[in-house]
Amino acid sequence: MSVLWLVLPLALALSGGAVVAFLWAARRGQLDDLETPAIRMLYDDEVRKQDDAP
Amino acid sequence: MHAEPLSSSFTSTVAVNDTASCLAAPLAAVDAMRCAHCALPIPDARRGSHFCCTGCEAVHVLLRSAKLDSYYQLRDRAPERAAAEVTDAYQCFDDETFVREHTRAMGDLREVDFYLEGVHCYACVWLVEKLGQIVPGVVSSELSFSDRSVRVRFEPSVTSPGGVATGLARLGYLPHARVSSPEGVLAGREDRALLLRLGVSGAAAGNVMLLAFALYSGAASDVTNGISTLMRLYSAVIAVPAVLWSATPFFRGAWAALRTRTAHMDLPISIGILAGLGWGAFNTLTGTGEIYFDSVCMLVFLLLAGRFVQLRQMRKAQGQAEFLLALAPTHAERITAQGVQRVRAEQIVLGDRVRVRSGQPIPVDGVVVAGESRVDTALLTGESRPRAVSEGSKVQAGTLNIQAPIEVQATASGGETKIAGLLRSFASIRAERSAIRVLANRLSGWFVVVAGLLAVLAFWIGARQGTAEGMERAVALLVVTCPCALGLAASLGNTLAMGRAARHGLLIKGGVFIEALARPGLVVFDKTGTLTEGRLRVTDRIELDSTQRVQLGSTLPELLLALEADSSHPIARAIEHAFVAHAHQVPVLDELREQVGRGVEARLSGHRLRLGSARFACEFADGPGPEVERACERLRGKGSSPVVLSIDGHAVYVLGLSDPLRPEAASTLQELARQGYELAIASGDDPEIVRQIAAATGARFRFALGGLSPEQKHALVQEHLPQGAVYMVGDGVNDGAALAGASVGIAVHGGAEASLAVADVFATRPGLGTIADLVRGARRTMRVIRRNFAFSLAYNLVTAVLAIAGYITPLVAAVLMPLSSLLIATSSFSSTTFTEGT
Repeated sequence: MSVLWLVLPLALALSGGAVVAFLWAARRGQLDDLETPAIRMLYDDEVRKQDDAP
Repeated sequence: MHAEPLSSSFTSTVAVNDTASCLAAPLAAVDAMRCAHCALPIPDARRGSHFCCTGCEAVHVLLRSAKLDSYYQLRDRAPERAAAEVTDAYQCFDDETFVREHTRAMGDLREVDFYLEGVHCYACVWLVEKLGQIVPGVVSSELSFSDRSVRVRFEPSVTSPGGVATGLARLGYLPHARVSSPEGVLAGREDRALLLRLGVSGAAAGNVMLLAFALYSGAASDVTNGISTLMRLYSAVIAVPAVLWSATPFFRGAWAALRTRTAHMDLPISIGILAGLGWGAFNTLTGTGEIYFDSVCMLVFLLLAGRFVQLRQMRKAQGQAEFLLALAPTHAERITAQGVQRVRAEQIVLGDRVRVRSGQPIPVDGVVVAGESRVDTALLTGESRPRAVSEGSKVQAGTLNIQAPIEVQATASGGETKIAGLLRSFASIRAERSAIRVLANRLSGWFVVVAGLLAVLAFWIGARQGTAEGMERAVALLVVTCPCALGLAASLGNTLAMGRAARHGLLIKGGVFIEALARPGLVVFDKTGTLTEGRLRVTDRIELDSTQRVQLGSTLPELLLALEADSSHPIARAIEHAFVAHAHQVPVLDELREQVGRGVEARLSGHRLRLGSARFACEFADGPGPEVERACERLRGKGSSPVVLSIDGHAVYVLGLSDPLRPEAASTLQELARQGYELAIASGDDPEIVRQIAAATGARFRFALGGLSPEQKHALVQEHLPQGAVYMVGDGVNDGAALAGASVGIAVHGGAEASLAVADVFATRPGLGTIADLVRGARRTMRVIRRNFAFSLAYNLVTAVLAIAGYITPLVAAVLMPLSSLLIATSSFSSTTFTEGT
C-alpha cells in the first residue's frame, strides 16, 4: 500500500496536466465550435495539385 | 486548352455559346432545363447555356479552373439561388478604419470574420475552407457551420480584407461584415468562463470520486490510518480550490440575494456547498468524522452542466436572429462635391446624400431627395409588392431599390438605423422573466428557512450522541437536501423541449415562451400567408359579352401573359401559373407600363389594353358597365378579388383571384379550440374576404377583422392583453409590431426575414400544423416540469428525514444526490414532448 505515496502524487500531476491542457485549449477557442470539426473530419485530402499548363 | 471531363458521374456534351468555352461545362447531368450550378430553371433568354446566369457560370468556371469541382459531388443539394455577379463592391473593406477596428493581428498575419450568405451544406464548408486556392495570401479559412461565419487569416502584404471578401463572393458566398458588439463580446466571455468552470469542476468531481471510492471500500475493510488520511487530504486539496473557483457564479448569486433580501435558488445551493466544504476541511485536518467532497464536487458539476446546456441553446437561437439581420447593406455611394465616393455604410453621416442605383439595397434610413422608383421592403415588412417612392418619401436601410436610381438624404445610418436597432435587441440576453423561475426562487426562499430549521433539529437529535455526531447530521442534511433538482426541473424540461422542437423546425427562443404558451389564451391569426397559402391563384374566369371584342390575333391567355410579362407582382405570378400552359405565342406589347396600385396597361396594334381593377380597366369607357359590376360582385361574394382585362376600355374578361385557405387550417383551429384557446383573425386584407375565410374554417372566433394597418393590429393586441394572454401568429408581413407586442409572437414560414428574427417562436416549416404541435408540446412540457418539481420535493423530504435519523453517510449521499438528478433527467427525456407524431 505504500506505493500509494508515489502513485497518488503521480495521478494528481497527470490529471492536473489534463486540466491545464483543457484550460489552454478552451482559452484559445478550440472548444467554441463543436459542430464544424465533425464535418471537417470527413473530407478526403485532395491528391490533385494545381495545373501549371495554361 | 481543352475541357477536362468533370468526373465519371457526369456525361459529356459540347458546351454551346459559353464565353469561357474551354473550361465550361461538359455538364448535362440531370436536367438540361436547369442551371448546372444552382438548379434554378434556365430562363428563355439564356436557352442553350448550362447556367441560369453569368453569376452561376462564373462560379462554375472558377471551381473548375481551381480544381475544386469535387464540390458538385460533395454537396447534397443545389442552392436553388443564382450566384450573384461579383463587382468590385468589396474594396471598401480595405478602408483603414475597418481594418483597424474589425481585423485582428495574429503574429505576422491578420484575421477577419465574415458572415456568409449561401452556406447550406457540408460541401460549402469544404469549399469555403479551400479559399486559399482561390485567393493568394490566404493562409487559413475556418467556417463555423452553426453560425455561418468564416474566420480568415491572411498575409497583409499579399492580400487584404477586400480581396478576401471578393474571393468569397466569387465562390458564390456573399460576405457580410461580422462586427462584434460590446454585448456580444461580454456574452462570449461569459460563455467561455462557464466552459472553463465546467471543465475544472468535472475533472475535480471525477478525481475526488475515485478517491472517495477508495475510502468507501477502505471503510469496509481495514485500511491503515495513514493511507486514509492521505486520501482525505488529496480529496480536500483537489476539491476545495476547484469548487471554490467553479462555484463562484452561485456564490455571487447568493451574495446578491442576501444583500437585496430576495430569495434565489443560489442561496441554498451555496449554503450546501460551503457547509460540505467547510466541515469536510475541518474533519480532514482533525482526522475525524466524514467528508462530503465527492458529493459537493458532483453537485457543482451537474449544476454547471445544466446551465451550460441551457446557455448554448439560447445562443443558438440568438445566433440565427443575428445572422438574418447582419444581411443589412454594407456599402454606400456618397455624393460629394468631388463626385461619387464608394464608402462603407457606417461612414455615412446625417445629412449626407447617397446615390442608390437600381437593384441596390438602400444603405441608410432617409428621405428621397431626387428620383422616383419602387422599393422592395421585403426584408423589413415581408411585403412582396414594391412600394412606390418619390421625393419626400421615407425609406429604410436594408430595403431594395428596384426601378430607377434615386438620391437619398440620410436621417440615420450605421447603428442608428431601424434594422440595426432590431439587431441590438437580440444581442443582449433576454431576461428570464419566467414564471417558473419566480416560483422556483420563491420556493428556494422557503427552502433555506426550512432546511435551516431541519439542520438545527438534526443537530439537536444527533447531539445526544455527541457534538460531532450532531454536526455530522446537520451538515449531511444541508448537503443532501440541496435544491439542485429544483433548479434542474424547469431548465431541463425547457431545454429538452426547445432542442426537440428545433429539430422539428420550431425555433423557440426561450423556455419562458413554452411556459406562456401552455396557458390558454387568445390566439390571433394573420390571414394572408398564415391561414391562407399566401399565394394568389386564379380561381375564376368570366368571359364577358364578346360582341364588342376587337380581334387582336392573340387569345386571351396570351394577352394576359403578355401584359404581366414584366411584373413580379403576386397577381402576375398567379396569372402566369394559370395560363402559361395555354399560351403558344405570347405577343410583345408596346408601351407596357405598370401603374403601381392600379394595374398594367399596354398597346397592341393601336389598341389600348388594360388589366387591373374594374375602375382602372374601364376608365376610358365611362367606367365599368353593369355586366362588369355584376361579375365583380359575384366574385367578391365568393371571396375572390376581381381583376378585369379591357381592350380600349371595354371589359372582355374578368378573373377572380383568391388566396386559398390552407388545407390544415380548419383542423388546427379546431384542435386549438378543443385545448381551450380562443381564436381570432386580424388581417390587412379586405374585411369581406376575412369574413369568408372565417366562415370557411368552421371555427368560432372572438373576432375576425380585416382592413387593419400594422398599427391597428398592434393596438388590437394591446387591447386584449389585460383580459389574458394574447398569442399572435403571423408571417411578418405588416404584423411585426403586433408580433412583438403579444405575449408570445409566432412567426410562420415564408415571412419577412427581419420579422422572423423579432418573433419569439419561428416555425421554419410551412403549414399551420406546427402551431398545433407547438401548443401541444408546450402543455406537455409544463406537465413534465410540474412532475419534476414533485419529484424534487419528494426527494428532499425523504433525504431530510434520513439525515435527521443519522442514516446519511458520505456513501449514501453520493448515491442519493445524483439519483435525484437522474430521476429528473429520465422523467424529462422519456417524455414525448415535441417528438414526431405527437
